[in-house]
Amino acid sequence: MRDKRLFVIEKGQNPGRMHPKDAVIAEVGRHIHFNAAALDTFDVKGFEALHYDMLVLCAAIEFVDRRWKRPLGWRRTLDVAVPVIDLKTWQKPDVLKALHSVLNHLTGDAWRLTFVQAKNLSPIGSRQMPLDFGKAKTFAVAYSDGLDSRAVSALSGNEAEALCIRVAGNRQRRKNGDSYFTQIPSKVKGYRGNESSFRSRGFQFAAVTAIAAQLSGVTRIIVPESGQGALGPVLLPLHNIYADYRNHPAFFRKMERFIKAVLGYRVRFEQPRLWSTKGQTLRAFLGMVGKSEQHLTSTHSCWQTRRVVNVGGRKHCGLCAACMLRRLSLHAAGVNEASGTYVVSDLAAADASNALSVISQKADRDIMVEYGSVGARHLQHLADMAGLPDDALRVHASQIAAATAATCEETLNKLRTMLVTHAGEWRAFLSAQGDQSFLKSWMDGGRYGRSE
Amino acid sequence: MIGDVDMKAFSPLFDELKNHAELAQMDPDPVTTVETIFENHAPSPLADALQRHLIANFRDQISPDKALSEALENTAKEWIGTTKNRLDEECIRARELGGMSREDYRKGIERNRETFAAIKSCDLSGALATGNKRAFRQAVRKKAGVDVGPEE
Repeated sequence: MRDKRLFVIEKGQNPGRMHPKDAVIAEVGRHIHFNAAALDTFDVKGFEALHYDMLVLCAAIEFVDRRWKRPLGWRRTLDVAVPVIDLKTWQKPDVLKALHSVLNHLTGDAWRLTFVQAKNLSPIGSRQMPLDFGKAKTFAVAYSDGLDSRAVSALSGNEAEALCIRVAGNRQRRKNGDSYFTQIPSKVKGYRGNESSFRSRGFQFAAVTAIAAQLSGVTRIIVPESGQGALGPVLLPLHNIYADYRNHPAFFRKMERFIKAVLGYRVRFEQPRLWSTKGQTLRAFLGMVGKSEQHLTSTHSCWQTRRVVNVGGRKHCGLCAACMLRRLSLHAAGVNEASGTYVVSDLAAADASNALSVISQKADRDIMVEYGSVGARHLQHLADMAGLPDDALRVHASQIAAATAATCEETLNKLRTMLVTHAGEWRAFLSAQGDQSFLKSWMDGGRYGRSE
Repeated sequence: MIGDVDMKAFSPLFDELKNHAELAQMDPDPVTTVETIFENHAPSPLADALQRHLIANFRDQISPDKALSEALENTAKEWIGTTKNRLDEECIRARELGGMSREDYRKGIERNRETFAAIKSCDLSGALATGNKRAFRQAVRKKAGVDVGPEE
């Protein structure tokens, strides 16, 4: 298997002969494009060369991760050379070790990162404006447009104390007083995206959030994901697909070590809803004074952007894993959504083809069957795990316990409680769809060694 | 199933773990040592599962030899489980997309159940330990149709 090589060059730099023949070149300003307005929100007192280096690194990693398709065996060997201003720091053995450790663990690839001295030592302006939030921020929260972000940021503390950091590629609707860290400031372009897994997105979000936290003097970073989304992908990986650690405590501990090594700043990624189902999180949110169902129904969970969801405005597809978890969780929280929220709304249909008949193109219907059946089976298998003996859950409890500095027994109990709650919510949701629902016909078979 | 394993990457990793297990009685911190071994080898879905099981066993104070053999067998069970699930998913997809009749679908799901129930996880873990990709060649020889069940 040939290595995939990326050589990043600075804006206007001639690639010359310095790069290996088989390397792809990505130029800052051309392939790695910084949005000036978004970057300006980071250009405040405390912003240093290292922070800019980190943003370039994040973009380079995204470029590589999306540029090269994975083989059947999942892993790629990814060779990346990045120009940095603070070369001395990036070449420290503990920085390189922590960086490779977190990236390999997160993406399941073999990364080989090297750093070269950048020529332009001040690529962005140095406004050095002090941050003024009016009131001191006590925690940061990575904020998307999803249910968990909406609910958990409110549950985590006073709104004025929360430093909301957008983790979207595009600017989203601004919140009151939202002037800083409005979006990830870079975009990569000028290449064909051949790989959709984009596991390194977790690194990008965590790195950008950590930079914003450091600039704001905040050390607590709240990760909003609830239990099923944070742990489910590692509890139940798919065949020959590397487990998705993006919201798992083991990833965040590695990320913290990398941040400490490179920025010299200690952040703590906290997961206050790790042991709650999303349904429980939503119920807790609705129990707060002044919070209504409308605050939840106005969020967006579906990650699909294709034509299938662009029908009279952008809707939720209604069947992908994110949509199924949303529907299950809102059902558990007793929230009804308006008709027309989902493209595929009728889960009670006896035949999937009837439910999917609202989608005009066959290719779209076919892909929805794949997304839908895999997502629904995942939620079913997660519910099945609630009935497994301790021995079968211990391996996961042990991994989580080590990452959360808890005992294995305590973690096992919490894990089982979360799974039992999920199982109850899932059963109730399935039951509400009626006996004939096509979802039930997607549950045939089962995992090896478990009753079917 | 075993054909999906990148044995070129897995075998050197497993050999190093085996060497460590033979000497690990003297290792005061086997968890850290094993984590370093995994970090020095290329990651993979199979190696990730093995690491999870092996480190959990070390944390449970299981002896090094036993920790490795049990971890490998539990990894093999997981691997069989995910493979079976993948094939079940494929049957469901084929039925929904019209490529498989309801009758053939029922036979396909039943055949998956029987075939995978007949696979012994210790056989797969043995094949992984020795790097033998041909271990299941006979069992997976092409059958004439979905009516043919697993061999006794």
